[in-house]
Amino acid sequence: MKGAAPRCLLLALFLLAGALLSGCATSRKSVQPSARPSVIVLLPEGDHPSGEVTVSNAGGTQVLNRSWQSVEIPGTRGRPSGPVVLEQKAVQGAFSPVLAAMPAPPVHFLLYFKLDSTELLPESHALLTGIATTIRERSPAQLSVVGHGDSVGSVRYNYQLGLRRAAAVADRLASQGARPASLETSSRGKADPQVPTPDQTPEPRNRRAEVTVR
Amino acid sequence: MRILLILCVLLAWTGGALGQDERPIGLVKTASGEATVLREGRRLTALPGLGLALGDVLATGSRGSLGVILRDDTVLSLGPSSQIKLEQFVFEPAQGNLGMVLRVTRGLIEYLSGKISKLAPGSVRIETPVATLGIRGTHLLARIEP
Repeated sequence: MKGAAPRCLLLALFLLAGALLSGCATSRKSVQPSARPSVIVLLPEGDHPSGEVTVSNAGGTQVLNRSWQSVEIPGTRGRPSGPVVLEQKAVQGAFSPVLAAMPAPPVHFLLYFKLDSTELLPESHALLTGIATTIRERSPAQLSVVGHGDSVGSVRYNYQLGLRRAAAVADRLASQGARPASLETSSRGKADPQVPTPDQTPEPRNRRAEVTVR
Repeated sequence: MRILLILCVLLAWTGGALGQDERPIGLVKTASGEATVLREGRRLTALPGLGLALGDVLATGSRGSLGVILRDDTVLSLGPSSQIKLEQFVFEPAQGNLGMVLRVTRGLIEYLSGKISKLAPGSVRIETPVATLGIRGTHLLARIEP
């Protein structure tokens, strides 16, 4: 009987040590890098067909070229698996925080001008109110206006005309109450026609300004 | 004549200085929770309207999120505990200079390609610790577990 108490104590200590050790083991396990694989999912691009993503590492390469296709990558050297088409709902659930943070894509407008002038054609002038509203709704917004000319006149003249057209659009938007956080006006002169023409050709579709609200 | 020469030199010099593009390469559009921009060792709070510079690291905390638009119309967002570096951004369509590299360290990312990818397919890359993504004009989601 005398030796029973120390033996019990010894047993208890032994059990305690075992519990501690296994506790240590599990906690160490959870500290290890997550076993979850990385995932890449191709999404539709609005009404455009999806592009293509090539996923490659030391283990191999996979190509995604259809909406909702995905690959899993088990690690830096693990071969990218798939591609597997995922359920739209499952993807939206798994990625909801990042989807919610996605800004609306930039909005583009095209405005057309009278010949050799910074005056807008009436149907383009009518768009200004809507553009100003878009700038307000997207505040803080970045506004970019790129002016263009047709091929009548010199390169230098059309560059200057493009600059004046871009500045005129920015001024008219400001007078409509648009207050973008940042504004960038520039010109491509006659270098980037919407409709390619021979030199010295009047072309109404090339007398334009491209407006982007980001 | 001499004055003209000096004027020309001065014009070329200021032209060169202006030519060094110091415009922001993008803009913070959405932010919630802990959302920061790390720039040259400084930690800036990412509020909507903040301009972005080349080399910026966008980072979110465990309940943060962040959305940005770059100057070529690329749209990006980060979910919680995510980090991405704007490593390369070249958008000079008039000169035909185009390219972009984004480095994702970890987390949830949404990417919608802009004009760089459309004008020069194959010139955009997303680098991650687990794989390199070659982009040809597209829209994707990534969860990167380093």
